[in-house]
Amino acid sequence: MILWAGIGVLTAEVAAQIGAAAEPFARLTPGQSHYLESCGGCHGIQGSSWKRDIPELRGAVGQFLCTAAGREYIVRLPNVAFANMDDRMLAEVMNFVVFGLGGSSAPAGAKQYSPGEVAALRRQPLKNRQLATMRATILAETSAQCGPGRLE
Amino acid sequence: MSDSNGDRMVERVARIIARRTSRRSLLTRLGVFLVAAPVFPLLPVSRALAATAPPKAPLTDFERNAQSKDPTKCDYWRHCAIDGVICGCCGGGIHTCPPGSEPSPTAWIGTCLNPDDGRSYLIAYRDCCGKNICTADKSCMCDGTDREMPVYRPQGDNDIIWCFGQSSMSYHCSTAALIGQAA
Repeated sequence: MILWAGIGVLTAEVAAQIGAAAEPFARLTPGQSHYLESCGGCHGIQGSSWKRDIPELRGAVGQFLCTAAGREYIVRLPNVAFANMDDRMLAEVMNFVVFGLGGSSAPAGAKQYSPGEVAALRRQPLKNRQLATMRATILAETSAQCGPGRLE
Repeated sequence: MSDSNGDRMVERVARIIARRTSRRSLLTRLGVFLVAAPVFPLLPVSRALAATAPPKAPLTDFERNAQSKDPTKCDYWRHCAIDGVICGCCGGGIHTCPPGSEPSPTAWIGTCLNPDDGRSYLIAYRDCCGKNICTADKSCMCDGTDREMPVYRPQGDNDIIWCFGQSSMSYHCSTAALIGQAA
């Protein structure tokens, strides 16, 4: 949370330097830009899209950080693990998704993803698994641990 | 013989150095060097180098020829990665669907360079769906391919009809809404 507040301040500073009048559109962070290009088409610009078939991120996805298994699961998902970006950028994207889009859904004190952690997790992508079953099990555990979240 | 000559020469040089310098001065200089070393990366030259942006990719063919006046043409800058019919030619606009069609909740998202300010912007190509394909002039049917991936990486390919989430997968036309300035 503190980091995002920090980025907000930085962005405001940059905008002030460039001149707000000449800056009608917000300058996105690298994590935001990569999220939009690689994930946001389906998951939605604000992390909310076609609810029936596309998992909701906004105000919800932080729930996965409640357990170690959940924290690992969202990086090992095939579209995340195989994303066309390096470990450092993927860590930035994950932090934007979980803490930025996820907002208060992340448990208090949850740690940011580091490039090293992401690098290790994406080397074990989830393949040939029943992802829906796995997801349900993980979310049952996070609910038991941190109380029910918005995801089911 | 040549070996002993070499030895003598090295010995002479070593003795000259030893006479002119003291161990203490060597230690002092070495100490200064060790203390100073971590400071060097902070010198302005290094910082200026670090601040230099990575070399920019050369302009694409589309970017070289893009214009910013007529959004109903394929070479309008926001259309660098559009694949389909421009909604502006079908009774809609650059971010509005023509009457009778509905915007899809999902979209292809690309990054295009604005020739007016030289900055890159994220563009959402949101398809308008639920109606047969718009029969506009051929000049309104575009195929921008900037930053597109081949079809065997389907998430990165814009040939796909982005009507997922709509009640109908019938494609009508594509919009090109500006989301924000790229990092």
